Amino acid sequence: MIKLTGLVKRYPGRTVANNAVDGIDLEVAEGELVTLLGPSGCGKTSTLRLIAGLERPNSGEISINGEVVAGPGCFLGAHRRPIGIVFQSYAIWPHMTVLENVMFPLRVGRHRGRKAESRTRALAALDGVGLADLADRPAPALSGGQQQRVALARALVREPTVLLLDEPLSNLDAGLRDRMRDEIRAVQQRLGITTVFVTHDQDEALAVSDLVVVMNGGRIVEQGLPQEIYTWPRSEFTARFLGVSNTMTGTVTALDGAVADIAVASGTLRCRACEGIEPGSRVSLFLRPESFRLSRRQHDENDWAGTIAFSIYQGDCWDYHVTLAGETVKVRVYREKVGLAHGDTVYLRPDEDAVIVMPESGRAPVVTALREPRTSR
Amino acid sequence: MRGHRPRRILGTVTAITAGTLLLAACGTSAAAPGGAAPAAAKAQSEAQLKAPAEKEGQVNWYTTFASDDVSDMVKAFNKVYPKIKINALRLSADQLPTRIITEQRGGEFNADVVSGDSPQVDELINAGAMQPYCPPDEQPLPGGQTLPKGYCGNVYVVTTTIAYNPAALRRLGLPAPRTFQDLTDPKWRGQFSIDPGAVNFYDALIAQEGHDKALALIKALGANQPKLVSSHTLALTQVEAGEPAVTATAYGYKSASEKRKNPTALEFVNTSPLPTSFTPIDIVKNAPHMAAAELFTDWMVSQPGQQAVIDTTNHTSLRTDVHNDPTVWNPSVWKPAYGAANISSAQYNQYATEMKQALGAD
Amino acid sequence: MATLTAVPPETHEPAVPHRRRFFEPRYLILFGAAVVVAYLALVPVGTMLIASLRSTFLGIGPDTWTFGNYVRTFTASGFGALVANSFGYAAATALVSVVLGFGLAWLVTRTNTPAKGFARIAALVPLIIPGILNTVAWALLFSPQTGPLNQVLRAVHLPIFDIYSLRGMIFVQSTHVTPIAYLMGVAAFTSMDSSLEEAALSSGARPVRVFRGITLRLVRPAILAAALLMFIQTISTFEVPQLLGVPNHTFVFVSRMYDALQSFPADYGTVAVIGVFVLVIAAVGLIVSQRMTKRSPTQTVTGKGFRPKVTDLGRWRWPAFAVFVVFFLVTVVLPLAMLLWSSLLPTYRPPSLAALRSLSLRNYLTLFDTPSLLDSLRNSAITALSAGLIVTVLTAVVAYLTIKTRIRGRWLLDGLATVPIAVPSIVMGVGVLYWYLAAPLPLHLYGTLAILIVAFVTIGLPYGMRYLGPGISQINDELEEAASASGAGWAQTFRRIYVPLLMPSLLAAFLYTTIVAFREISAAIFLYSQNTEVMAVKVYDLWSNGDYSTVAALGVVMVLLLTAVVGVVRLISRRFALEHT
Repeated sequence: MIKLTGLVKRYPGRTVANNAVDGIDLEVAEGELVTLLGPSGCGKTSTLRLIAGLERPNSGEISINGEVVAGPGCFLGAHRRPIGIVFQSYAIWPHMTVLENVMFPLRVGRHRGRKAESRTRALAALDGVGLADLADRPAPALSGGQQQRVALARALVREPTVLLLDEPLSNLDAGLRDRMRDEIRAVQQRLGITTVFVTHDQDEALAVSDLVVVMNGGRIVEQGLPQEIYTWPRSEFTARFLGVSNTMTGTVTALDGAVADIAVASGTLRCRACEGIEPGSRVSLFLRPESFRLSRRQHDENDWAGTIAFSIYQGDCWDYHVTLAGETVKVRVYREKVGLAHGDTVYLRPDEDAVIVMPESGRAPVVTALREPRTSR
Repeated sequence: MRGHRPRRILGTVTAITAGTLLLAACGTSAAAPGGAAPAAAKAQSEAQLKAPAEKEGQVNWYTTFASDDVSDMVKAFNKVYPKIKINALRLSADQLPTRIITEQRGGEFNADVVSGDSPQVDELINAGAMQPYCPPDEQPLPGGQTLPKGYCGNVYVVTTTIAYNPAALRRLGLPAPRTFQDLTDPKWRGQFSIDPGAVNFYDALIAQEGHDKALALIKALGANQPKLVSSHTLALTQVEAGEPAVTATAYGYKSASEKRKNPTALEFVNTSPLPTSFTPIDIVKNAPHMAAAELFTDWMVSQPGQQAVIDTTNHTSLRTDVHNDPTVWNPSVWKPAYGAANISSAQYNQYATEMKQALGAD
Repeated sequence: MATLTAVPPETHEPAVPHRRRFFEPRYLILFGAAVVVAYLALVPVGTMLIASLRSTFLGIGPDTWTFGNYVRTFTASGFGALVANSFGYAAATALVSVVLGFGLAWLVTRTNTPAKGFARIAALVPLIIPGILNTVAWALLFSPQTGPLNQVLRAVHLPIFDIYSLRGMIFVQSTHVTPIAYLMGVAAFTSMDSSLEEAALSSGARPVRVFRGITLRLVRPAILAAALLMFIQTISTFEVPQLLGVPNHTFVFVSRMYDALQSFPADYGTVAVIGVFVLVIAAVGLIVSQRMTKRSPTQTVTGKGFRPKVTDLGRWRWPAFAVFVVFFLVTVVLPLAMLLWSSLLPTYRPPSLAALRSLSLRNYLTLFDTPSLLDSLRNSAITALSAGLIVTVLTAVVAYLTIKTRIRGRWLLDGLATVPIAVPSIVMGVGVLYWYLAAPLPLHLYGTLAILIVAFVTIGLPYGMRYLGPGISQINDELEEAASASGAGWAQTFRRIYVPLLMPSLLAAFLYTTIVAFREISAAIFLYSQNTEVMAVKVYDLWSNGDYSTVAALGVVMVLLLTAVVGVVRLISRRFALEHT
């Protein structure tokens, strides 16, 4: 179990208002895989390095399995923490063989093992990542994926309490990335090891995590189960970061328990309400491109009329930019053989269950002429 | 840390300045040499000196003897006194006073005996770095010259001659020069070398014909675009190699021994009067091996010591009971013109500057 | 977006971890190395500054604080000409050696020039010929009347080359320092990412344009650094100006300094003022070159493969090879042949058939017959190897400290370790001598080999930094962090990760600083004592006695010895290189 309390990290030459890590509180439960997700510079890697002991916090406390490893008056360096880490660059030592790389953690530090025993354990770890037969290769002779596995074996060979993964997949090509992602998750679940995984890729985060922690500006924006975070993000930042590309503003016209009627520029919507709104409130709406039904004909009078601005064929789907009254939305349509062309008239109906509603942030009032909702039948 | 470099260097300079102040504190506390010269030690007989000298077992000799000559001199001395080890430190004349004065300012008294060119030894004596001593067997200097009061030892004299390469002269169609004045003739323009630091030569010229005439001669030589070569012996080697054809400030002893080795490539001519300079030998203040130092000095100026100097180095002794190289030293043919044996540093610096300026070495 | 919450209060780390941090072995070692380097650098520079401000430094009579030395030196007649000569000489040498050195380095690292193994060695061998021997050899080769090369020129009716001129000085000094420029060039070209060049080529630029627009741009920081180094080294090296400039009335800073040391008492004031002047110029040069290049540290050793692109020279391969052969002939074969020739003659004569009959090995026999020579050989071996070792260890730690840590004040240390390069060796010798005589130190170093080692280490520091700085900055931080996270303490990480990865740089630094120490004369001449004479001083001594034949024989022996050292180190380094691939 990892517990972070009020963690602050400031790099020299930066202002206090610009902390790399700015007061993080987080608990990672035993055996869980937690993802720190965010854009570059959000403090996720710094947080990981603080947990690893590669950085010294300016304030706050870190404990691993109840033992305080960093806090007022105490700091254990990385070499004295029960951790294993996989770096973005893999950091495979080029002057050693594969086996030597993996044996290294067993041959250094306080609890140095015997050579023969270390060898056996290192080979077992390599076997665990399917590389036992490459043990005597010089490390630089391996491919990217193989180096990645060596790095994983090396991180796990000491049987650490905590596994730390710093964007481990970002240097791999697309196909390999998915496979390694699944492999990492499988190993983690098999060993039941508490893991912190840093990434800027939402798909990775959603696929492997028990808990996703979204970070920005050195702080935690929100955290939750992958499906929660994906379906019902509670902040605009999360929504945008998780690929919700359509934003609209509207006004609540009616509120009925958990359901709200909202008027937007192109028409009306009935969707799940959120806290903090009442009839007349201005709200922000977030819609995923795949949360629209698109057709050539008008099925319902509430459908929004628009024209295709342009279309992109993606293989398993089509992406359209549809110009509605004064704004453009991105729409993704699956299962369609023949695409629409520029200028075609279409009708959109949002999937009302998937609309995310939040009180308007108040930062950027959208200046669109609010038209009379089309209520006539 | 990009963009901070200029500050970095400023900082370095600041740090250095701070360090300087630290050092300065030590600089001012260093003991200054000088003060009253100690009284001259009374010369003791060899029998009196031998036992304590052997007990000391060694003597540190700072010398301008050529390094291969040094080891031969040490061998000759050890034939007579095998129990006294000589640690010789060979220094060039210009390094000698600096080294000893620096050592003494640092409270280090390492040297026992010094032998070197007279202006440099004078400098040490004037600075109070030396100890007056007169070896029992030393004779007074000729030509009315005197060393500073209480100092008597002279280990040899050097003469300045004109050395040339006969083959090179033939090639250039030039006659062999006879006098220094010859070299001021325009036909010698650029064909000879001279040592701009040969103050002993200038000093001897002054002793012989007065300051103004001597300076005029040096100026005339300088106007003839000589090559400037600071080492007498290197200048000789160059002449032997054929270029330049002549050197105006060769040492007689070295020219003679080089001529013996390489008779076709080297010839030299002694002028009369012959510029001649002293090379004193003296004991250093607070010498750590006093008895051995006295014994060594006594031996060096004695008849056997002086003959050893002549045989080893081909230098010239002023003793009358030794055999000098007749091609180098024959006072009846080439009348010696002695440079001052006792020169103040102000005078020396004046001569040195005049000479350098006259030769365009400034 | 949580941007509006209050800024957390500034917290101060408690005192306890600070103290504990300081007493960790890592910090003790780093701190120790930093103190040693600072101390070594400050001693000569400090002495120089003091001497420049004292009326009769190390002399006799009252010694007071004064600016008189500055006034006197700067207003002396001919000071302008002195500055012009010195700058012209040093700038031209820097230009020639950098163009040559980087050109050769490019050919070796980035083209398919044939016989690269030979080329690599050809460019390095001149390093091991001591400057004084190189200068003497060239003086004989290009002697206006009798020099064999000028006789050849005369025979083909070309104007002769007068070695005793500014041109001659530039030529000889360039042959001497080009290998250093070459080494810096190799480092720069090897660590350059060639995909940047390929990008330019593929965008349609012609190869020449790519070389000018991309390659040269990318190595510009290295070129500037090398040019500055050559400039400073040239301006403070003694042999060439003294042997080739002075005879023809061409004076530069060092010959003026040497001159000042010959007056009575030695005029340390003038020496120090010129020394300070050179130091200031060097500092300004550093600032300017760094302003111009705002370099960003690049990390290239990441554990992923990295191969510099090789340009196909096509038909130009052989002319390129010929360049190497000519370079080798000029910088190695000619001077060494001259040395060999004169070492076999009882007294020097220009090469001729007639002189062949006089050849003998007598000079070599004399060498081995002289106990003081053997002593000096032993002293040289001890001092040079220890200095090389100490510099390598110290600069490895200092380079780590300045590049890999964020400890405050590390930039100062970087500056200090570079300072000795701008201190002329003469000043270095006097400074070290004075300090160890005058300072109230518990250790008594005067008259021991240790004082020579101290001087050689100080002189070697900047060179060690040149090799280890880039070496360390090329090692990705994560390689160290991975070791730390694997449970290795700092010492283990340094030993098992940094040392093996740095081995090529460590060996190069060791080799170069050993050679520098072995060749060093100007400082050693103030520091040796009876029984501690080193070989280079012996050479100088014999030379100033005109004993050219013995000098030449000794020179040949020195070159052979250094070649052996280089050979051994290269063998070791090849073993490491093999382990890498």
